[in-house]
Amino acid sequence: MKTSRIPLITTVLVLVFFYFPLLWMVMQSFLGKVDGEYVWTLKWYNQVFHKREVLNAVYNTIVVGLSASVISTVLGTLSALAIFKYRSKLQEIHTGLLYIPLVLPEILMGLSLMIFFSEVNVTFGKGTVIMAHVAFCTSYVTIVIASSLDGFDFTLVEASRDLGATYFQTFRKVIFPLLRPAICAGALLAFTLSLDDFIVTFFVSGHGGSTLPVYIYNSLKHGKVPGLYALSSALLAVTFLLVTVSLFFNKNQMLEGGEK
Amino acid sequence: MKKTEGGNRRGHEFLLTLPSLLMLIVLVGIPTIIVIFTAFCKDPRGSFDAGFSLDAFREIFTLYYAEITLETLIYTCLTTFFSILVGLPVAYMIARSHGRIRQLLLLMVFIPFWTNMVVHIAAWKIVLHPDGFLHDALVFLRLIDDKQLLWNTPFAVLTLFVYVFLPFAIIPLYAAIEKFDFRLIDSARDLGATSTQALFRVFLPGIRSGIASAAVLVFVPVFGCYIIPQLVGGPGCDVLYANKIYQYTSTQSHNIPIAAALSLLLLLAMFIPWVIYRIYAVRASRAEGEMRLAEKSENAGMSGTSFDKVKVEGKVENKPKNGVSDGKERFDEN
Repeated sequence: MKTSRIPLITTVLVLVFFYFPLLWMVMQSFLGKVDGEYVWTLKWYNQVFHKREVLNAVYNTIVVGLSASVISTVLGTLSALAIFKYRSKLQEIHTGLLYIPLVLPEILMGLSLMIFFSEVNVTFGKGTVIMAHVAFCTSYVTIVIASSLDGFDFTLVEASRDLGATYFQTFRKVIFPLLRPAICAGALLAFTLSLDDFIVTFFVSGHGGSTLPVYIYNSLKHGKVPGLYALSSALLAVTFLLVTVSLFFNKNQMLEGGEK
Repeated sequence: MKKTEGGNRRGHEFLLTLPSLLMLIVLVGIPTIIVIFTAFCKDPRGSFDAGFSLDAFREIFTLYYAEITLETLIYTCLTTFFSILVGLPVAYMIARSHGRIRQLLLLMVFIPFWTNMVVHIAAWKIVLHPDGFLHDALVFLRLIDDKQLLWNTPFAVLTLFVYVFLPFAIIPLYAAIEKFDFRLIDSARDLGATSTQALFRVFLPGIRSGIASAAVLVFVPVFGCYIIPQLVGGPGCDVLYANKIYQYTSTQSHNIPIAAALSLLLLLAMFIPWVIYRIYAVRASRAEGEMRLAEKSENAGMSGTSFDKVKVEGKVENKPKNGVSDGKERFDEN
């Protein structure tokens, strides 16, 4: 009985399909034309990273990413703990609300937040973008931490309470250290999501909150801007780095869990 | 003492839940409710001062929007179909590999999944643009005419859709195939089935929950995706359903109630498959629970069998999660 070659061939083709455009774009970002000849050059990178708007966008992206990541990690950890520990009507509502950002198309989230912020008369800018990112990142962080809690040994918590620790002490010395890998993974996930989010950000950024993806979108829309591919390649490289690091974290987390 | 403990516990629960619950109510719950109300708003700018009406809905229950919805549905269905068709062999390949190769393959599927859609579009623009090398190569090979465009065409839109959303399909398919018991295939072949029969009558039905998840995970976002048609499409294919929503929020055709009404209809349309899914999930787990109970009573003679969790999992946990979470959970289980 011959094993079919189809899966292998398809997988190879798909991987080529996935990576060829990306690699091609990265290659293009290093190419320049000098006297009609193609040469390797860093001039696109040089050019684009000296632009005021680009630096502004990068700054916004980092500020928003870090803030949203921190806030949603805190909120996500608390919510994961709450859901895991308590089973009540309140948690059902809580879980239901947590799922909404995961299944809603981004345009609906973006639109609803835009209308909401307009009604409440909040100025659009970095603040609104951070709030929007927190809204959907928290759900993802909750899932990461909840799945880590699945293997959590709650008898340790009970033991610590029996020995006289208060709730806060227990949290600090027992729960938090054991959850640390998951919390890091969650934070990294939130940052990556925030970094690469476009649609929701676009709706709530107004004029002051442009992040890098929004800038790239505007450039694409209005025709070619020199250095666009350099910028996209840079964003791609950062995402690649973050994903690899976060998967590395996840692997370590499993190892730690196994040893326990 | 029990009373105080109970009260204390509820107080603790409330405190623990409050931060994220508050955030969710303010940033998710209330905006959704406001959108619903805005759809019935009379003022095009969206303020509630002018009162309510059904104007927005009158505008959209026309042939024009029906056509756009149909067009969007066609793109979405095609994308879903191709994503699952191509995703199945890839997911199979990953599920059947082990160790390092599997991790490497998963990583390679994950990365495009995480990358920004805008970056993807930028990359494909270079490849498909008339000035790009692919165009020249195909003309050279006499496969296409010099005048024929690859960019700004329905072909490009569909390609980008599949490109962006294929990982969304691969991940749940992989999760389902990983759980599949391949001894069933061996048994089928022992009983005389050909490869094709085994495929269609054992394998595919066996992973149908994965196929369903993949279909939902591709269908919903594609339907609501407007930037791919907008940036990649050309005349005739650059305005889909979500694009209309976007158009009505831009300064030119500013009409928030219509955008809200379109969104509301989209929400309702999404709601229906979810309800069906929930009914299916409850029925399936009830059947599974009954089966387990039957097994347990048969094994009543044997001691030491721990009671499996026979709870009816009709809770929200069964809702198809975004592919991200599934992928993460797979890693943890590995």
